[in-house]
Order: sequence, then C-alpha cells, then structure tokens
Amino acid sequence: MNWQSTLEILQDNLGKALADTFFMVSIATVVGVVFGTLLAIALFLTQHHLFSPNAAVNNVVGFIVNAIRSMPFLILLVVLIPLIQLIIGDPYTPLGGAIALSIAAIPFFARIAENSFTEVDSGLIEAAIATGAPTRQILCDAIFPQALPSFIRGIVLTIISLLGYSAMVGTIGAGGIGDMAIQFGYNRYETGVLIAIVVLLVVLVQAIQWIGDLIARAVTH
Amino acid sequence: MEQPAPIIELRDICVRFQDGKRTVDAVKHVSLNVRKGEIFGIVGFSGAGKSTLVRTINLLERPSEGRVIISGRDVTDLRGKQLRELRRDIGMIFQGFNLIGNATVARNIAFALKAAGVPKQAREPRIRELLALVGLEDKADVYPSQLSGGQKQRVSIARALANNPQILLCDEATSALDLETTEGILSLLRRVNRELGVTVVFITHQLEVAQRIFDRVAVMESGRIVEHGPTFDVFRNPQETVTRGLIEQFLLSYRNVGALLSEETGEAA
Repeated sequence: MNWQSTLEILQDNLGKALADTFFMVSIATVVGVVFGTLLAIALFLTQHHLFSPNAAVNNVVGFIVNAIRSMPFLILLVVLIPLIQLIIGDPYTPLGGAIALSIAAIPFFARIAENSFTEVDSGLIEAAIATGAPTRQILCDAIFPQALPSFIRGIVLTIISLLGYSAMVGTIGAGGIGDMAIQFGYNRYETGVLIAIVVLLVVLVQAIQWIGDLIARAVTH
Repeated sequence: MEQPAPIIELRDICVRFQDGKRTVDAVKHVSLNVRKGEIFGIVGFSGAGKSTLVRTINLLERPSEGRVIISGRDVTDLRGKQLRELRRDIGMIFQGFNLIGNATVARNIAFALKAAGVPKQAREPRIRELLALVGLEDKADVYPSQLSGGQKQRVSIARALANNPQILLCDEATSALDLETTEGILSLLRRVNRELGVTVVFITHQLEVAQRIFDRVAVMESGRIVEHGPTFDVFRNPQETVTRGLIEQFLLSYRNVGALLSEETGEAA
C-alpha cells in the first residue's frame, strides 16, 4: 500500500467527489422530502375514517409507491437511464445521479412520513376535528407538530440511505465518493483510498445521525 | 307552562359498525332530549355504547339511522363547512385529555380559536381570559408534559370553551383522575354550567360523578337507554338490574374505603 499515491489521489479527487455526493444527496433529500410528504398526506387522508376515506386513491397511490420501493436501487437506476437521458441528455453525471436518487427517495420517504402521521394519537386527531378546524389546520397545527420528531428521524434515515445509494450511481460514473472508492479503490487496487473513504463515510454517517437525534430531541416536549 | 324546545334532541338513533363480516350494533334506537342549561349524564358500564352515542351529537360518529337535532335544527346530514361551523358551537373534552404534546398550553387553546377564524391579535387576550377561568393563568407557555392530569384537563376545558359553545360534551372526563382532582374538575364544570349557561352532556361509568353534578341521568346498557330521569329519583329508586348493579358497585367502593379506614384507625367498622 503506497501512502504517497493514496494522498495524491485523495488530494486531486476527494474535493470534487465530496461536492458531487453532497450535490446529489441534497437534491434527492429535498425532492424526496417535499414530494414524499405530499404523497404521505394523500395516503394518510384517504385511509383515515375521519378524513376523506377513498380506497381507490389509496390503493393506486400505494401501489405505485410500493412498486418503486420494491425495486433494488441498482435495477431502478438501470431502468431510469433512458428516462434521464430524455430529460437531461447525459445521464452519467452528478445531475443524472441526482434525478435517479430523487425518484427513489420520493416513495421511500412517503412511507416513512405516512408512518409518522399514523403514529399520532387518534384521540388527538378526534379532539382537533371536534373543534371544527379545517383539515389543513389539523394537518399543519396538530398532526405535524406531533409527528415532527418522528419526521426528523425519518429524514435522517433517508439521508443516510441516500448516501449509500449514491455510491451505486458511482458505478455508472455519475461521480461522488462512492464512484471514487470503486474507481480507485477497487478497479486500481488503491486500498489506501478505499480505507480513507470508508472511514470518511463512517464519520459522516455518525455525525448526521448525531445531529439528527439532537434536533429530534430538541423539538420533543 | 310549556317546556322550551330541547337544545339536543336525539331521535331513534342507531349506530352500526362493520367488523369484517359482522355487524356491531353499538347504539340501538336511542331517543333522548337534553334541556338547555342542564347537566345531563349518561351512565353505564364499559361497552354500553355511551362513547358512541355522545359522538353522534357532534357527528364524530354518523348515525346509521335516526336524526340529530341541535337547537331545533336537523344536523344529521351536515358536511364540510356547515359541519365545521356546528362543531365550533359544541366543545368536547376526553378521558385522555388529547392535547397537542409538542405545543404550549397557549397554542393548544389557540388551535380552537384559529379553527373559528379568530384573528391572531384577538387570540392572546381570549387565551388569558380562558386560562383565568380554569385557574391556570401562569401556565400559558408550559408544555402539557409538564402538567398534572387535572391541569391537562383544565387546559382541555379551556380549549373546549374557547369559542363560547352552547354545549360541552364530556367523554369520561374524570375517569383518569384521582378523587380530589375529579372534585376540582367537577366544580369547574358546574361553574361553567351555572355561570356561563353551557349545557353539559357527560358520560361516565363513575356514579360518584353522577351523584355530584348531574341534573338528569340516563342509564345505558348494550346500546339502549334502559332508564332515565332526575338523578336523585333514578338512584333512589332504580328500576333496572343494570342501574342497581351500578349503584351497588358505587356503594361497594365506598364500603371498601370505609373498611380500610376503620382498619387503619382500629375503630369498629
């Protein structure tokens, strides 16, 4: 193991790789959380007897969510390549990776958010409805504040999962630290680089989890 | 002199639930009237259908059959905006308090005010007024987890009264509280009834509550009302087995307490 070459490689490539990973995971997280929450609200309201029970809508949306989630990400990625090509031309870029990750993130987070909502005490929901509040207010001012700690933990889980998935988009050359680990660490036997990136990932994930837990606890009363 | 029209009229209410292939009749052909300004109680053992029945008043449960008439208006089929408006005129408190745990006391009460479209500036003075009414003036910025059971129920009452409702529904409101705290809550409810003229419908399996504040009481068993009348009459002269059963249970608990006390003091029972 040649430490000098390891350091050289890291110096030349780590900066961009980290930036690419950050880019992809951030976009996917934001898109996943925003659209996943909307889907979760639809799923939640259509299966709750006090809101707008609608088996048809619930089943259709549920089916789509389940279908995407059931695909191993690598396969989803391959399936999405033609679609991404249509949208941005070259799928083998960080932007292409971000799109693929976003599509995976949406149903992933939808189920997590839906779970956070259904965990809210039904008595609380009953009381909120009894005040004559409109559904929007019940969601924003009663259900969401109660679901917030669980919601935040769900976001942390999503970020960490996306971090893992982002390594896979590296296999199609979309960049990121996963790509770097495979390119240098695996293909060119630069074990030092592999170790360095693994350590980096461990530290990153620990930090994200720790910060997330801190925030979740801060909003729990 | 003619009796004024009842503020709540339930006509032949039936509530049926589908449990897979089975149909459960939670409420069977119940008719009752609640007079304006009275404290009306519904007592019965667990599973008698009391909770389901009281929820038909604000349509949290829609009756499968029968009509719900509030202040002379048939509200049974109300939906959407009209239903929400009706609900603002009916407050409700629960056994489990049902406060938003991650919101302060003030925000919990503000929730009801916001529901009625009260503008932000007007909310604060009203919240202070309500907290003063329930005796929690200094608790506005406290979270429910920092309150005792009795205090939580007081916040619930403040929330339920936020929009000056004509009716207050109480679902086992004191069943999770100790005797002394229960007494405090019942006194408060009595005050709210006598001073603000709020009609109270209270369901419970605790006869001590019934004895303490109910003007009239109805006894429920297996979805039906088996007996009703002025509280004193019903308890002094119970007609039905279930009523007698409830009274017996009530007296038994007092006898046990009495025996316990005399054991402790070494007095003759």
